[in-house]
Amino acid sequence: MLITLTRTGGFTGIPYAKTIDTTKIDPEKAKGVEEVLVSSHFSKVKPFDSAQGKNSNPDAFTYSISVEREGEIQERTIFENDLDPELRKLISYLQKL
Amino acid sequence: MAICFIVPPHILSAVVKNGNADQKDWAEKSIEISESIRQKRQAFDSLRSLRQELAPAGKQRLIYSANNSTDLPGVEIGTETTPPTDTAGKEAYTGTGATYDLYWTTYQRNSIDNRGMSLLSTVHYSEKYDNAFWDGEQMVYGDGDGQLFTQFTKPIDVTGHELTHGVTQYTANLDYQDQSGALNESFSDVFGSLVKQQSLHQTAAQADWLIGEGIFTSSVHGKALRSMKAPGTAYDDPVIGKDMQPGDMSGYVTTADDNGGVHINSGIPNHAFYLTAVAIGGNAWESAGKIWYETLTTKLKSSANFADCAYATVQSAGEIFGTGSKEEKAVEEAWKKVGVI
Repeated sequence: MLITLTRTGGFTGIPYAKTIDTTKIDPEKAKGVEEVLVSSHFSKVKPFDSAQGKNSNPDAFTYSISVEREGEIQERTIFENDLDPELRKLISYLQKL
Repeated sequence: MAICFIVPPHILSAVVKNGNADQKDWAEKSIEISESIRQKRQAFDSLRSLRQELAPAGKQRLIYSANNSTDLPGVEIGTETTPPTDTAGKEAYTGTGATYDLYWTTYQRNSIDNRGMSLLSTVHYSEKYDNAFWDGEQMVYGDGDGQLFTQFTKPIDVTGHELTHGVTQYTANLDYQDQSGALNESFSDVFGSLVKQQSLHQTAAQADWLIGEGIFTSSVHGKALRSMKAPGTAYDDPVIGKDMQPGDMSGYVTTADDNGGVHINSGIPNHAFYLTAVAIGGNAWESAGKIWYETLTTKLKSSANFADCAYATVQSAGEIFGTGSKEEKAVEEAWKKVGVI
């Protein structure tokens, strides 16, 4: 599985991006990625539609997460204000890897 | 503050009713968390309103700590009469005070809402959090990751910047997208810089015109996050990249990221303000600052673009300093130099 986290916005305006190939990291950590993905209900997050919303909180972050496995790609864009605790855990876990 | 979750409450209720055991468990937990946050926030807002009614008129600062959680506002660590002892708390207290003072003494604005709203700041938000933001009701500051960024309370202009997002919210309420979003960012940089200049007693010629100076650790090749004097030159680092801000319309960046590049294209109106301020001379908060304040609070619609802002600032300069004044000419010349008019 290939998982990419990107972060834009924020006071600094400096973007952040990280790609993790779970076949190339410690198997325990790869298992952890699977676990936080499931517990965050990532796949149930509604795909972003730019016509329906924007990040209206000045200087808050916007996160995009892309999960690619077996040729299928799921991509979700989430505003910082819309993060629930489980999605926060997912982002935090990926950032710490 | 609207606390929004990804799944709307009516869907969560439907999942509780119709989902399988696992789905029900998740939906119930989500509802529980949402309700708990809502109740806490309501209780806090009531307390804040009561304190505001009872407090004497004038500057009212409240400093909280999230203790590295994401719960807002967190626990109280300082008030107007009992300043915090924590370093980040002290910095937020000082920066908030300097911002209140600029708006009150120079523009006779009584706090963010011009009605004496208490100024609430939460420090130590989340873990290694590289950001500061205005959430619609309060300021929030991270401690930085320690490797690239220090604590976001450190530069005084960061506090001025965030509080100005509040002022914008209560006045022009500029849409946070594309050119109006870049103007929203630019007004925050302008008044953030003016807070710093006034606190250091610097004239336009003496000021460094940097935004976020001191926010980088020594491992980053950069002076600050943005330069109003020379957009695009604030940092150039192998890890975080290069400052991408343009100083005129020839470098305008079209992008879907960051709400249409609001932190990039703000370099253009930022530079227009700098050119105006140095052309007029003296203390920028007393000249160009007054023109920009008048424009923000009385002239702009939420959908304003760069050209709207340019013509509105020329009009404000004429109204404040007189038609044909050197101030009015300086504003017009500045917007011409950055290619907006």
